Amino acid sequence: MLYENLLRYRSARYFWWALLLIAVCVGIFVTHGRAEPPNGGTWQGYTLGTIGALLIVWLTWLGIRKRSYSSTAGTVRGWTSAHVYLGTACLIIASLHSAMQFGWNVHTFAYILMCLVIFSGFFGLYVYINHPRTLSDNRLGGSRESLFGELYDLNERGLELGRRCSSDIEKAVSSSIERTAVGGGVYAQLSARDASLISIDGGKPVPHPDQQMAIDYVANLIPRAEKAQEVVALEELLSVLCRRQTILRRLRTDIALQGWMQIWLYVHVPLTIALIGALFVHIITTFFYW
Amino acid sequence: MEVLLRERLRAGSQNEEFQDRELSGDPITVGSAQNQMLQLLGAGVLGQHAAIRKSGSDVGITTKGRARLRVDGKDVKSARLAEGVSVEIGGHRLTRIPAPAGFDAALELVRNPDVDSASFERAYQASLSDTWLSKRVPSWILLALVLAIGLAIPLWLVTDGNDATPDPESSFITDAIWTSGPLHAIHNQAIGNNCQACHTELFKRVPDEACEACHKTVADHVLPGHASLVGKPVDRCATCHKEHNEPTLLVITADTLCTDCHAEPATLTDKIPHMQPVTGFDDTNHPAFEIALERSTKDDDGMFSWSTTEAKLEGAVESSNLKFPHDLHLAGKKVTTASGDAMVCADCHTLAGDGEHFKPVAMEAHCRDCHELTFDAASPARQLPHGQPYEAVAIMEAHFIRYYANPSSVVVPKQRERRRRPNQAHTPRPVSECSQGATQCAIARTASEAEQQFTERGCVTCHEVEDNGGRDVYTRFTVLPVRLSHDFMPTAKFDHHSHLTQKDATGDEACLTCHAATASEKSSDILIPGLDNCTACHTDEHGEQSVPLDCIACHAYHPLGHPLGKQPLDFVERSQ
Repeated sequence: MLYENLLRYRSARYFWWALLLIAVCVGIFVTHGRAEPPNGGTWQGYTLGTIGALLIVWLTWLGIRKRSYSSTAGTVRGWTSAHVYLGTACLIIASLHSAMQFGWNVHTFAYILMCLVIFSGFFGLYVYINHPRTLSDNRLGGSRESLFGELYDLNERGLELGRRCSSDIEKAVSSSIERTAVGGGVYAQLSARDASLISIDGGKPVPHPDQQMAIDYVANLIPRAEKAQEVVALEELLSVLCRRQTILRRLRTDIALQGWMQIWLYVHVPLTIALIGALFVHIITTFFYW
Repeated sequence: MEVLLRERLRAGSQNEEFQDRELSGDPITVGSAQNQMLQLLGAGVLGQHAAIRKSGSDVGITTKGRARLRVDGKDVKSARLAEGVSVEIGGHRLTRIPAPAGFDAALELVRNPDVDSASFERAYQASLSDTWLSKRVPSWILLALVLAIGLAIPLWLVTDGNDATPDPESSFITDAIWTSGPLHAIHNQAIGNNCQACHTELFKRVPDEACEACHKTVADHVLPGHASLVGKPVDRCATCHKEHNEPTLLVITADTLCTDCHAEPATLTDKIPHMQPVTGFDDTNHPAFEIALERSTKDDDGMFSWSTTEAKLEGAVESSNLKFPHDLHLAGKKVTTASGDAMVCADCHTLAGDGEHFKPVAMEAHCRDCHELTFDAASPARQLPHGQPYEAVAIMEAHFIRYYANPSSVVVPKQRERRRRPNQAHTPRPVSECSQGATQCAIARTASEAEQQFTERGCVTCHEVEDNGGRDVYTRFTVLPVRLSHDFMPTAKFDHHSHLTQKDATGDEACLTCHAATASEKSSDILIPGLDNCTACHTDEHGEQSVPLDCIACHAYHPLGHPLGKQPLDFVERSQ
C-alpha cells in the first residue's frame, strides 16, 4: 500500500533528515548572542529564512512532482514521506527564523499561512493513514467500478422484475430505483447523506433514506399475494432491493471516505499557492524597506 | 402540465414492449439527478439537463447551462416539440406523439441502449472533483488577493508621488503592514507609521542621513569614509542601531561590532599608533588599563599650565602637587571627624549625580575642619586665607605690625576649644625682644613665620612649595598649583553607584575592595585598580562567577564632548 508505510518509509529516513535539519537550524539560532537578540534580520535570521523559503518552494514542487507518476526520480511514497517530514520541520525552522516575533504584518501573515498549510497537511496525513484500510474493507477488495456495475445490474434487474408485477409495484420500484441518489454535492458526499426519493401509489416523491420504504413496501405485499407465481416474483424483487440497499451503503461510505481523503487538498493546495505569494511579498517587502 | 410518457422497451427487437407512465408538473424536468421527473442516465446527460414546458398549444424543451439537445444532427439549446419531432439527450430519443385524451402532450422515449454500468457511474457526482470545488480557482483568487493587499496597493500608495504616508487610521492597507516589528517607543512617538522617514528609497538600506535628520548633534566615532573603515562592516548607523526588534532595542551590543576594527588596530591607520588590539574582556584579550594624568609645567614667566597625558596604569604616578596620605587618614581613630568617629571615604568623596564621578574635594569643605591655617598661637582665631599665598604673607605682616605696635590689641578672646592636629605646638611663641621699631620687628617676624608656614608646618603640610631663597618674603615661596584628577578614564564609563553594593562588603569596605587607599602613603599613588580587579568579577562571557560585560558597558562609541561637532574621537597624547 502507498499509505501504510508513509511514516516508516525506509526506516523513517526522512524523519532523521528532518531532525538533522532542525538540529542544524537550532544550532544556527543559538549562536545569537545576548548582545543581539534573535530576529529575522540577523545573519542567523537571514540564513534560517533562506533555508525555510527554499524548503517551502521545494516542498511545493514536491507536491507537484509526487503527482506525476510518470517520472522515474524516486518513488511516490518516498517523496510523500519527505514532504511530510520536511514540511513539519518548516514549522520549527520558520518559528526560529521569526524568533517568535509576531505582529499585524505581511511577515506574520506568511507564517500563519504556512501553519495553515502544514496543519491541513497533518489532516491529510491523518486521512491517508487511516482511511485506506477502511476504504478497502468497505469495497471488500473490489473497486468502486465494480460496486457501480453491480448497482447497475441490480437496477436493471429490479426494473425488469417490477414490470412483471402490478402497475403500482412497478411504479414504486422504478421510482425508487430512478430516484436513488448516490453522492451529490460536497456535503452530501462527505456526510454520505442519502437524498434518495420515492413515489408510492403515484404520490409526490418523498425522501427515501436507505431504500427502506421500497423494501418494506414490497415485503408487506408478499403475505397478501394471491398467486404463488406472484410471491416468487416479489421475493426475487425483495432480494434485489435488499442487495441494492447493501451496495448503496457501501457506495456512499466509499464516496465519503474518498471525499475526506481529497477535501483537505482543496484547502492545502490553494493555501500553498497563497503561501508562495505571501512568501514573495514577505521577502520583497523586507528589502523594499531594508 | 400532464404528459404521457410512453417508453419503448427493447425497441426494434421482436419482443418490443411499451410502458406508459404519467408525468405531472410544470415544467417537466429531465436530467440524470434523482430529483428529475424524467431521469435519463449516461455520459451526455447532466444532473439537471432540460425542462419541458407548455406555452399555449406548443410544447417546447429548453436546456440548462451548458447542456445541449441534438435535433436533426445539430446541437441546440432549445427546440419546439411539434408532433413527430424528435430530440436526443445523451443518446436517449424523445419523440412527441399524439396525446390521448386527458393529456397535454405525449412523448415516446427510447433509451440509449449503449448506456452501460460505466456511463451509469458517470451519471452520479461521486467524487469531489465533480462538484463545484476547485483548487485552481481559489488558488488564483488567493494569490491575487495576497499580492494585491500585501504588495500592490501599499506599493502604489508609496510610489504615487504623494510624500505623505497614508494615515493608517483612514486607510487600512498601507505600507505599515510591511513592518517587521514595533519601533522603539521614542521613535514610534516621533515617527509613528511614517516608514519613509527612515526608509527613504525602496531596496536601499536606511541611510545615515535619515538618522541625522533628527540626530543632528551626535558625533561620530570615526568619520564616515575614513580610510580605516574600508572593508569594515561598521559603516552605518544601522550597523549598531537596529529597529523593529522585540523587545524593542536600539543598540546592538555585540562586541564583534567593536573588535571587527579593534582586534587588529595596526591594520586600521597609523594615526593612532598606541592603540592596542582588543578581542574581548578578560586578562588576555583586553590590554592593561591606561589612564589620563594631569601634569603641570612651568613656563619661563613662572606661569603654570596643566596638560593631560596618557600613561600605563602600572607604574603611573600622580603629580597633583598635593600631599595626602590616605593610609593615615583611614587608620582608625588616629584621625577622627568632628564627632570623634574614624574617618571614612565618604567624608571627602561624595558621589556626583552621574553615579560615576565624585564631587571635587575642597580644602574648605573637607580639610579645614582639622587643618586650620593659624599662624600665631597667641591669636588662634586669626587664620590665613587659603589659596592666596601673597595675601597670607600680607595678613601676617599686618598682624605683626599691629602686635608690635600695641601688643595688647591683638589678644583675641578665646572663642572655642579648637581641634588641632596632634603633635602640633600651640604654645604661643615668646615675644622676642624687639629692639628695633615695631615695623622692623614685624617684618622680621613675618619672614620667620612665613618661612615656618611654607617650609615646616602650615602650607607645606599639604602643598609642594618652591623656595627660591630670596630675601623678599613675598616672592620667595611658590606654592605649586594643585589639580586632582577628576577623571582618570575620561573615555570610559563606570557606575560607582551600583558597585557600592557588593557581596559581604558595604561602605568603606566596598570602596576598598577596588581602591587600596589604606595602603597608600603618598598622594602620588594611583588608586585606580587594574584590569585584573575588574576581571575578578567580569568577563565578556556568562559564567558562574562572572557577570558579563560587553565593550559598550565601559566604552562609549560616540565620543562625548563634541556636542555639535562631527570630529572623531580625539585621543589625548600619550606620555613618552
